[in-house]
Amino acid sequence: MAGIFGKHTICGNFRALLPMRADCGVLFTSPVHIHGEILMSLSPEEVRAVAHLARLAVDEQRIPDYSRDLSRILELVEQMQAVDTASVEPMAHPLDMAQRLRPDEVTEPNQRERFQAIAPAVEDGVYLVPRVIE
Amino acid sequence: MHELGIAELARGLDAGEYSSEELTREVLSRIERLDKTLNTFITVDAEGALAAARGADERRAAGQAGPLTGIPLAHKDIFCTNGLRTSCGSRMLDSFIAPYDAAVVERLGANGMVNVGKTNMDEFAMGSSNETSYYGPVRNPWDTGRVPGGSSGGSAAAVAARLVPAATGTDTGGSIRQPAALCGITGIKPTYGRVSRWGMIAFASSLDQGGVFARSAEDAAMVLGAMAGFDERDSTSVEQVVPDYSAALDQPLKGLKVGLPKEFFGEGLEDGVRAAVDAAIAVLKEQGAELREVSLPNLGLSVPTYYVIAPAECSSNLSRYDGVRFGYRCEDPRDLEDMYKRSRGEGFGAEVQRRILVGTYALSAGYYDAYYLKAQQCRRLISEDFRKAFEAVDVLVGPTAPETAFGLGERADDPVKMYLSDINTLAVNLAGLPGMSIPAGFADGLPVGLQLIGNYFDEGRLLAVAHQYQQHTDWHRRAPEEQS
Amino acid sequence: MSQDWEVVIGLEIHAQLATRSKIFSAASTSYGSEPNTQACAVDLGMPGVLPVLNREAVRMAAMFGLAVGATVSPRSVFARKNYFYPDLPKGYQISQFELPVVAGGELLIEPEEGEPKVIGITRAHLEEDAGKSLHENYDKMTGIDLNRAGTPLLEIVSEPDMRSAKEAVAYMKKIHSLVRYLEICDGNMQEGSFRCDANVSVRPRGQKEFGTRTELKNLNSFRFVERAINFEIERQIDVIQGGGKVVQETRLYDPDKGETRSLRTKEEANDYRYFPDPDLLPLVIEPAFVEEVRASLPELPDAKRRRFVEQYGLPEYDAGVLTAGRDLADFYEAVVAAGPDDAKLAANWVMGEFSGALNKAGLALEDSPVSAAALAGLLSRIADNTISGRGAKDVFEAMWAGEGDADSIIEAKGLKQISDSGALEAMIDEVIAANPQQVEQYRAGKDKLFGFFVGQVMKASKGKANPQQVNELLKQKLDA
Repeated sequence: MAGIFGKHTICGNFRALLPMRADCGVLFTSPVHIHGEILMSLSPEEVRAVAHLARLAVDEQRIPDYSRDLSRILELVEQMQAVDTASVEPMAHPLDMAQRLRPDEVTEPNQRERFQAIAPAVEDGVYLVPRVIE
Repeated sequence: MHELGIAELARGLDAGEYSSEELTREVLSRIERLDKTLNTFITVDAEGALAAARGADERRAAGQAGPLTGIPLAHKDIFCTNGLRTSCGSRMLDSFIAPYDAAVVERLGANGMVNVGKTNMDEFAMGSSNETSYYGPVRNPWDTGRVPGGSSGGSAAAVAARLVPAATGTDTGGSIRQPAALCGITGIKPTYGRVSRWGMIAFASSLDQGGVFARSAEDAAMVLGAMAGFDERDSTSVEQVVPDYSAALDQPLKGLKVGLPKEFFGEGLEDGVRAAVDAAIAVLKEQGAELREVSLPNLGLSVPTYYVIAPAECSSNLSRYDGVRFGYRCEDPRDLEDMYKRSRGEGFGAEVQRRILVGTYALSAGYYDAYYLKAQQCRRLISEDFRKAFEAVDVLVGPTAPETAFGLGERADDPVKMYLSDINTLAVNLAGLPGMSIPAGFADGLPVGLQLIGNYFDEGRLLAVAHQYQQHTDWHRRAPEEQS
Repeated sequence: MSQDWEVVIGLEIHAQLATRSKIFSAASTSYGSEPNTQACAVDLGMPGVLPVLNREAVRMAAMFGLAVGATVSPRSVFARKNYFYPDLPKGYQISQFELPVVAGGELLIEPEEGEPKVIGITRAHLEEDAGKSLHENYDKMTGIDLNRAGTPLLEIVSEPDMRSAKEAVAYMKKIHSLVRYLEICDGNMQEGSFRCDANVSVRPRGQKEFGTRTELKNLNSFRFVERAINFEIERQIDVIQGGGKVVQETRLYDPDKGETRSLRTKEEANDYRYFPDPDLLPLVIEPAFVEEVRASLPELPDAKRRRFVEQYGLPEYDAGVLTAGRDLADFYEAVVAAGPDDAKLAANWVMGEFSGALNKAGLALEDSPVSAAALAGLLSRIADNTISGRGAKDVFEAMWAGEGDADSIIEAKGLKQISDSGALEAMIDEVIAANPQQVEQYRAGKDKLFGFFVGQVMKASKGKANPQQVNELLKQKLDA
């Protein structure tokens, strides 16, 4: 979470989100809002950028299709912008409940062999991945 | 035997007319014979089912049988089954042998139900037609050229084709109700939090809810009663006693206040569907229900709202499929990034990828407020509409889907059109309410579903209304012709 | 460093909370097990599994919040921080973003140099730790051990209030001491239970805006924190004075070379796509819970130090040393309680011989071979003049070596002082009689010879004479 919480961001405020996010750098360049009017379409470049963020190898031939589909979906989604929600509390969850807390007890046994039996690559109890370069 | 519902089968088992093993063999042989065409099953576990059936017979012999002991069912392949492949309809999990049972599997197993296998579904439950499955589309038993609906299409079609008396499903935006409608059976999605999500592979966590398909409300009540209830492993599970749904089925309809949301009866509703639904409403009225028009003014927002929230949550939920600990890993990755990208690119199908992309975009820097936050605000508006409606009425009624089953391949290339067909069901998930679909006749030979929506934790009333309706109609007893 | 520059430092400290089970699962958090034997289905992010929050982690976070005068948020929210990394099983880390469990607090630090100072604590939030990537031993591959995945962390974020590496270290030490006092973290930096990242920037003195900061990672000791920050300050000033610009980036401290280096990755600007975790509900902390936690708070370091000065009459310095760690303070108080009525003597021994022996043996206090009661027993023998200070050191060594308690060692080694004045007088008389010449010289004014007589008497007693008594009696006899 490095460097995201600067001196000037106030915790507990949803509005504080934008400056913090702006801080992270913006990936996409297409115009979003111009006084409520939305120009929404995703270029193939942007599709590639999102696909990278999602770690998806997208078939190059499919990119124009995805670009078109995504643009259409976003057009659909733009219908929301017509609604004034300025004073509406966001609803993250259908039920207005609080998080239940679990007692601090260790009840999970070691099941490494079982879990690793279905792993793509393991050696001496560790999962193997192509070398991570630091 | 395949013509019988759960309550009747239980009586037969109790009377010793047949054993669970015989019943299970019959189920397995029908699947063997009929499912080549329908493709409702991804995995059939004959050996496990017969062992479970023999266990159930022993329990019965020992006088320890409950009402569901020895009754076969099938689980949607989204529920983890210990030692049995749990694919979620995806190449990604084609090799995934779950090392644990989902809470739903555990509970129904503990009630003595016999799991015969895992049903086909849209990949990761993303779809309304069952065409996105890695294992091929499911065919609608009423017309094998048509889709069964989705995403729980395999379960719905298997129950409709009388392969199993009941099957589990999940409903994130209509995935139980819409296929129930398109296949002409009874399906219920309870209140969010009623059925544990433990071991149920997540699509969109704040919308997903497990439920059941059966031939009748009476059968559905039995199974739902057994699968519902608090589970400490799921933070969103509700600590509330589950009422005896079966005992409450006999409440008469007299005085029931039925709301008819006018938005359900507007443009886009096919004439045949409208006629069937109107006739069903007339039955409710005849039985003494009071009809009132109500309005859900923000219902139209549910499609865009849903298609932000669900993809956003799914984009994050599906990040765990990375080829490291389980599931598909691509051949000979060049490096780590290549492993991630190709494993996910090859393991996920097009619709899943499309939703991951939409969700990733909606959550990305600079867009969160415009999409995700906005959608959460719209979600509240939609929920408020329901809250107000339920101040005046007991249940809401309308068509489950604005149309009957469409042809295979008809909409595969048009995701937005596919999304719009979910318009009547999405809002219920956004609000977290219980919803149900029951057979309400036919239009051009294809089943029409009547949707019942209840207030929070009022699934008992939905089941009772459905049961009363089914006492005065026989649509739920109609079965498609067998085609092998 | 040039007087023209002002340094601005903020720290992000990750303290592993000392719960038995993980923050969202019932797997063990203990350190050092075989790889992946403590990674359950939840920790592995397997399909369909769900998190449930550990009450103890919440309690510990609340304890910390109260200890630094912060607000324990009545409502906080868990969010997902999305990124791909092989030791992050779900592809996201469950953390807190907009609404942390602890907000706004402060801590008084007393750096080695400079004035005491209050450092602001922006927030502290709960999150889960990731697993470990093992880069050695696997041919062209990296091994992943997820035992650590899901261990609860409290991330403590300071305000950018520190103005030197020394202040940063003083702050870090204070937090370190505090979490150990609260028994919410074992503070073991080698095992990674207590970790620190530093945000460092410089600006020309007088300038209002902050300079561009870099984030320093891999600071796993107090010494490294100081060195890395000082290196980075010099580097940034050099860059700016050379006409360049400091780049906002993450830099890794290399303790072998004593420098920081840019952690270049192919990764574009981070885009973590934070959003509230839909598998978890808002964490609501009721006032009653907060009060319960408040009532359970132990005495904190500053208060304990003040009490040590008042109650035991110790100098500020002694009180500071003894209360730096809760275990040492408790040990000291146990010694005082069981020993003679001489708190200063106890302080000298606990800080001196005892701590010295621990350090030399590289032992933790809990592994000390000498208990508080045993040390108190030794001090009692000093106070009642049974043994001399010199003798006491020998006894302590023997106790450390496990030869028994003070009394039995004194007995066995015959270290008991001779305090019987009759016996001492007889010895003194003999010494005087044997050295008439020296007696004469002494009496003629050669005072220095007094030491000679003391030495002779001690020799005659084989070192067992009570030196104080010998002094008094000798004086009487020689001056008579």
